[in-house]
Amino acid sequence: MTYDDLMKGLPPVAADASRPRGEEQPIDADRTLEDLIAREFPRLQRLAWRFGLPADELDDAVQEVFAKAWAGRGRFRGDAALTTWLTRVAVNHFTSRRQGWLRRMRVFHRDPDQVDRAPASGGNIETNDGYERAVACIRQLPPKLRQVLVLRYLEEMSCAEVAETLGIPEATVRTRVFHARKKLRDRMGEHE
Amino acid sequence: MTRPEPKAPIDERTLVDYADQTLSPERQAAVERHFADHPDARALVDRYRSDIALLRKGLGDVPPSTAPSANAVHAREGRRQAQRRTMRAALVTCAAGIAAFLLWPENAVEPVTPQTTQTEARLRELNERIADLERQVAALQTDALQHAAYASSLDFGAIAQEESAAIVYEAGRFYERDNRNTAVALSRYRDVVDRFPNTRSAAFAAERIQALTQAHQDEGLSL
Repeated sequence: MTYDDLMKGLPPVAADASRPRGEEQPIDADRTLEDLIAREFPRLQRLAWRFGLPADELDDAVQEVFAKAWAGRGRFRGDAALTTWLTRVAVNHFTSRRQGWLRRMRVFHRDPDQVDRAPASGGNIETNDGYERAVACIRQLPPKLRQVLVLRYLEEMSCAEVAETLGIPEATVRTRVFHARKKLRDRMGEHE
Repeated sequence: MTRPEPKAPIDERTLVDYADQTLSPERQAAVERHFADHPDARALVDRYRSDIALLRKGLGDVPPSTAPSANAVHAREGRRQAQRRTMRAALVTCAAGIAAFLLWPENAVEPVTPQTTQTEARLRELNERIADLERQVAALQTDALQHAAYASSLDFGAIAQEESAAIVYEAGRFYERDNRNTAVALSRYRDVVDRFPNTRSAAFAAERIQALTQAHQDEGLSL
């Protein structure tokens, strides 16, 4: 199978003008899947890390997102930017994969909090520092609150962009953001 | 996001918006005036900002990794499809196996044939013979008991004369007419009964059944 064959079912890709990322090049319609992966893989890998997946599962998780997106490309209607649609697929996949990972941890009697606190090799989490505590606290939040917190403050999205990505009203996003920050503050305050 | 009412109360949600710098200039100024009288609110805003700063430092980067090729993605999708095909094949195989087992001639339920009817008739006849034998054995057992009881009653009759006791045997049961020597009479009754065979034992029944079977065979019948 050649890349031309791969491109036959790929929907046209428009530049995402709503995203304030000037350094990112828009995807042309004739770019291949290879280009899409090369462009989006680091961002999705970072997103997976922020959604609480362990470091040794990041590559697998992102590959599965691309495989899911490719298999479901027929459902992409083109009313949202491709990156937004891809992010939505990724958020759903990472959330469910995180839940499955937590279940496996509990089955094998491992403490997910301990695993969460373990820094990735080469990561910048320092021991005995507030970073580690903050990471542990956000990973203990309910999935819906963790989603908005990651997208709003770590992915630097506006509330409107978060709403479009998650497919929920913007007012709901604002409410979840408030509750997420309040819960995070409460948990952080317990350790201060 | 702007807060349209500058005179609205400053609550925790307003402080979060202030920390995110999403308030209008007027509302922002109102919050800063609020800080003059509420230093704890200023501290809370600082902590909100600190939380996000810590998160950004803690979850900023991930270890460097090589992006997979499109071929790797398609290989993964191919493996998923292969797994689905394997599962479907396994299900079809299981269904075919179950169907073959149920439809195999040796496993099918045989229809009733005249031969089967003859066998059932023979079985019924044999069962009736056995039931008849069992009734005869039961009758013999009853006879033996009555015989033993009768013999013992004879002895009791002698006992009764000797001891002036009055124990009579009527219709298969003992009745005491006088309680004075009952204990002695019953003790002697047990001695008498012990001399007779245990007509309720399995050995006794088997022996009588053999005898009856032999009798039936002598009459030309057989099981």
